This record gives sequence, C-alpha cells and structure tokens, in this order.
Amino acid sequence: MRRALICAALVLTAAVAHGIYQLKYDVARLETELTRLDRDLIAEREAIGVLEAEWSYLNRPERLARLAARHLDLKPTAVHRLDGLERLPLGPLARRPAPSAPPLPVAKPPPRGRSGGALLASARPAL
Amino acid sequence: MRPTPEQLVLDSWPPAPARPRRPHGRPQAIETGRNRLLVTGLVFAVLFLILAARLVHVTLLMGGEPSLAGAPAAARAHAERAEILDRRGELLASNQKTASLYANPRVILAPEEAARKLTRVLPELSYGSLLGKLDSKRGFVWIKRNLTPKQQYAVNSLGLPGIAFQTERRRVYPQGRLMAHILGFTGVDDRGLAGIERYFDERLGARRAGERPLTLSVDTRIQYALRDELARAVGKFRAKGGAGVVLDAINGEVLALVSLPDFEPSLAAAAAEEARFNRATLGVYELGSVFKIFTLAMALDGRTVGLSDSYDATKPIHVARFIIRDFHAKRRWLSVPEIFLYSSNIGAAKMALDVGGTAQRAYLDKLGLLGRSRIELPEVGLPLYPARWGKISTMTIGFGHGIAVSALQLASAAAAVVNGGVLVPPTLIKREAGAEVPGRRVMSPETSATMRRLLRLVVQHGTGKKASAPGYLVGGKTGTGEKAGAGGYRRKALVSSFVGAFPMTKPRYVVLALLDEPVGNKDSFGYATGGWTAAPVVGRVVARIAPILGVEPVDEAAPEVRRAMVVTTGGGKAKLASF
Repeated sequence: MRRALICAALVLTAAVAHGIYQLKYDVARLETELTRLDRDLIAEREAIGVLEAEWSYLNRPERLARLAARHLDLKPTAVHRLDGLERLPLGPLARRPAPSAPPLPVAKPPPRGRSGGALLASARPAL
Repeated sequence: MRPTPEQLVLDSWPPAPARPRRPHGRPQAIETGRNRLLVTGLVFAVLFLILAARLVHVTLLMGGEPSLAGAPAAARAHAERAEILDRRGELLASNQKTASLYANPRVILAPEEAARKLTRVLPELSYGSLLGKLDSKRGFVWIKRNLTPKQQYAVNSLGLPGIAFQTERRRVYPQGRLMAHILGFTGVDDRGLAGIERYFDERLGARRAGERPLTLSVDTRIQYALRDELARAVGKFRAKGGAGVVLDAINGEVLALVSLPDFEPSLAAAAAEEARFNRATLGVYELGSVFKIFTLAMALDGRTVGLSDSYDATKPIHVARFIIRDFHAKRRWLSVPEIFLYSSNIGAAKMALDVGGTAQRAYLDKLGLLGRSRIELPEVGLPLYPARWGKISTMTIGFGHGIAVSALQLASAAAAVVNGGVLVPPTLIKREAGAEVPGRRVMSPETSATMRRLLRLVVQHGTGKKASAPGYLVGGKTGTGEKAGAGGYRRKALVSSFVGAFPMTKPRYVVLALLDEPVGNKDSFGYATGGWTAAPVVGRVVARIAPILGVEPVDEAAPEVRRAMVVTTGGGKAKLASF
C-alpha cells in the first residue's frame, strides 16, 4: 500500500514538474514572439509613414499637371462646358409621350445654328 | 566476604519494571532519519500542492485575457512631432526615419574604389573630397546624411566594408516649395523656426503618445492654382515678387496663401532672405486704390454720401506740396459709383474729407487694418500709418496712400465688405464643421449689398475688366500704389494689386493678387497697373478654382442676374451699369 502511494506521488511529481517547465518555456516563447511582433509593428508603421510621404510627393499638383499634359488629352474645364441638368432639353423623349400617361410638358428644343454651350448662348451685347 | 552469584541475583531481584526506552545506536539513527524524511516530505508536499493549485488556477480557472505589461508603450520608442495635413487630409509635413551614412576610414582598405563606387550611387558627392575623407586616419567621418530609402538600398548593395548607417529622424515636406511660407521649417533639433511649424511648435512637438495631426484650412489644389498663375504673372511682368491670398469670405479660412519668391523647405537654411520673406503677411505696402473700397463703404455706411451724390473731379487737388490727380482723368463731375468705377483719386480724397479723419480712422480700425493680423503665423507685419492723422493724411488715405497694410489684412477687410458686413478673423486652421464662427459686425448689410454691386461694376465696366471670369460674377477693385523711396514716391516702383470676390450675388471666396514692382510690357501697352498685371491673375485663378470649389457658373447676361447686380443711383431711375 505504502509503496503504491510513494509510486503515485513520484509519478505525480514528475508530471507536475514537466507541466511547470512546459508552461515556463511556453511563456518564454510567447514573450519572444510578442517582442518580435512589436518590432515588426514599429517597422510596418515606419513603412506606412514612408509610403504616405511618397504618396503625397507623387500627388504634387504640379507633377500631376505635368503628367496630365503629357499623357492625357484633357484640358481645364472651360466654363461653357458646364451647365445644370434642368437646362437639358428633353428632345426626342418629349415628342413621344407614353400612350396611357398624360402628355409630358414639352420643352422647346434648342434652335439650330447655335454652338454647343447653353450658358453664354443667350448673351446679348453689352449695353 | 565476596557476594555469591546467588546474592548478586537476589540483590538485583526483583528486576525493575520494563520502561519504553529510546533506541540508541543504529536503530535510533534510522528512526531519526525516517522522521526527518517525513517532515521534509510533508513540507515539499505542501509546496507542491500550492504550486499545483496555482497551476490549476492560472490555466483553468482564470479564463480572462492576461493583462499586457506595457507592450503598447514599448511600440513607440519615443513620441514624434505631429504631422501636418491640408484640409483634405493630404500630408504636408511628417517625420521620416532616414539613414545617415558614415565611414570608419581606418578600416577601409581601398579608398579609391570605395569613393568611386559611392560617387556612382550618390552623384551629388564630389569624388575628390570623398577620397580625402576616406583616405584619412580618422575613426569616424560623415559621408552623407539623411539618405532616402532608395539611396540607402543602393549604398548597401555595394557591399563596401568600413561604412555603416546611423538612423536619424528628419522632418519631410512632400509638397516641396508649394507650402513653403505657410508651413515654415524646422531646425536641427526638430524645433519650428518659421511659419506654422514655429507658431504651433508646442502643439506639434508634444511628447505624448498618439498626438493627432494638425489639419490646416489650406487646400493644396487651390494653392497650386494661385501659385501657378502668380508665378506666371511675376515672370511675365518681371516683378520682384508677388503675393496671393484665397479666403473663404464667410468663415475666414485661408484656402491659399502664396508669397513669391519662395524656397525649398528642406533647404531653408540656404535660402535667400528675399525668398524667406512672406510678402502676403509680413510685408506691408501702400496699396493705393483698393482702399477706395473702404472709403466708399464708410461714406455710404455713415450716410455721408448716397449713390446719387457726385464730386467735382475736374481739376487736381493742390494741398501743401502735394498734387492729387487722377489716372486717366475724366475732368468732369463724377457720381459716387463713377468715382469707384474710374478709380478717381480726387473724388476719393474729397469723399474722405467729408467722412472726416476721426471717423475714417475709427472705421479702418474696425476693419482690422490698423492692427496686426491674428493669423496663426509668426511672420505678421505691423501696419504703418501716420502718427498725426491730419487733413492731408485723411485725403491720401482715402485713396490708399500714407497707410501700409499687409495683403492678408486687405483680403480679410474686403471679405467683411462683401459678406454682409461681418469681420471674421482669418485663420489657417480648418474650422470644425458647424462650429461657431467668431465675427464682429462692422457695417450694415445694406452697405455691403451696395458695395457688392459697385465692385461688380468695376469688373464689368471699370478698371477691373481683366479680372472677369465668365460665369462666375467676379467683382473687385484694382490698386496701384507707388512705393515710397527717399524724398517722395518712386513713380516707376509700383505695388499693383487686385482684390476680388465671387460670385458677387452671394460671395463665397475672396481672391487677392499682388505684384511687387511689375514692369509693363508690350502686351500691357507699357502699363504696370493693377488692372493690367494683377487683375488677370485673379480672373484666371477664379476660372481654375471655381469648379474645384463647387461654385456653379451662372449666365451673367440672364435678366435675374443683371437685376441683382443693378446699381440704383437714386431718383427711382435704375441705371443698368451703362454710364
């Protein structure tokens, strides 16, 4: 009986000791991992900072203007190319209203011979 | 007689009763040993029980997250100077880790080869001086500080012995010279020396974790448009310099602030004094006719004159040793709107006299033109005006001579004139959406409305025709001030400016352009006045920035627009700006 007890106690001791050492090394490993992650985090944040600065540098308006002039066929928005949606004539849609619906209010189509811009088309000579 | 064996036995009879007795000798040692073992075993058992209990407790019973022991604080080695952003979040200034290259010449075996390879990768270094450094007997020598990551990689790939990097931090301005005068720059120890960097040095350099970036009110796109057009005019008219401001007329936010010539912030220490001088806020100039805005405003606001009044502008005014004459004199009586339209000095001087020096001075003070601007920059100039504000001063100040103010101040006062009569202090920091805007009423809304129409008149029919941007209803005033030199004004040294606002039906933005000593050319028929040099800048800038700012173009000839801009000159007769 006593021998069995001693045996059991020894086995338990061994198991517990093993468990404790395992835990200790696990913790040490996790701590190293944590330090490594922290360092990586700092490095990544630095990299993000560099990229943000580079992005701002590449987005300098004068650089974009230069590139746009070289590669794109765009020009600055001239004011006569801007207009409000409500000024668009309904055109063909107005001439064919839905049969069941009451006739749509017809907008006068723009007279022929005028140039595209609607804005200054109604300009009269200064007094 | 010797006792007999029988007596001996009888003497010790009866034998003493048996008593429990400690074993001694070997049996006793074993007993002691066993006891001690037992005690030790018990002690260890208790200790291990505690350990086992703690183990169970930690692994099974305590299910919550373990508390981190100061890990986030370790993530930031030291607090950094805060970033500066523009109103849309574009990065204007940040701290970067840079590698500075140094060498240990004692360890370098082949200095020529090392110098050759290094100059190939870093072409800005001179071979001769580099060789001299690497050939020396010193233990430490700088080769080049603050390399970019690309340069660092290139140098590293060379695989040269005896050279190494040291990490340094540097303030970087990705937008370069575009924001030079606004941002300023920092010195060696990351302390602000000029501009926003200096004004907010404490706020930016706060050594606390998680410092938020500083958001300015400036818009990079507007800044670029203004700088581009201003630089073009400075070049075209061979001016010494220029200044430009774009202000939000309602809340005082500065959308753009340009001063030319400017400098590269990363090379600020080597920049010329002329380039570092902020002509928009620090420079004070006698701006000339733009001041007529305020003369008219104070005269109308104080009901000294009405729109139907007129002044005799037939002859120049002779007072003391001065002659006040008109540029392109009409030589007739001019109505109040005409005085503004044709920028008559004679008319303005007489109007100022009617207002009176005391009232004039008080009004200009109210408009913030006599004190230092409260903009968030250290480089702000103090306005200059006469100590004794006599009759002559009143007259000359009426048309903007004898008083020197900064461009920003003028723009801010002009904003008060057009926005309904409320003076809002200009600011470089973006205002919170919905925050209350600090403002002080300086004139009646009616006066402001009248002034808006008069300003529109100047651009439609007056000296400011070149500031017109079709569709955007630009209104404004030209100014041509002569710079004061020794013993009087220098006729040929002008400060030409134009201050405008748009859209004049309900102004949202004020744009000012100023040229320092422009020279007339063939295209301007030799004229270097505000109408020829500065007004076109404002017109072009408005055409460029209006779509960005979301200002809808209107048909300027539409009846409702023309009705809104009509200038009634009393007697019930509306004059549709056809004088």
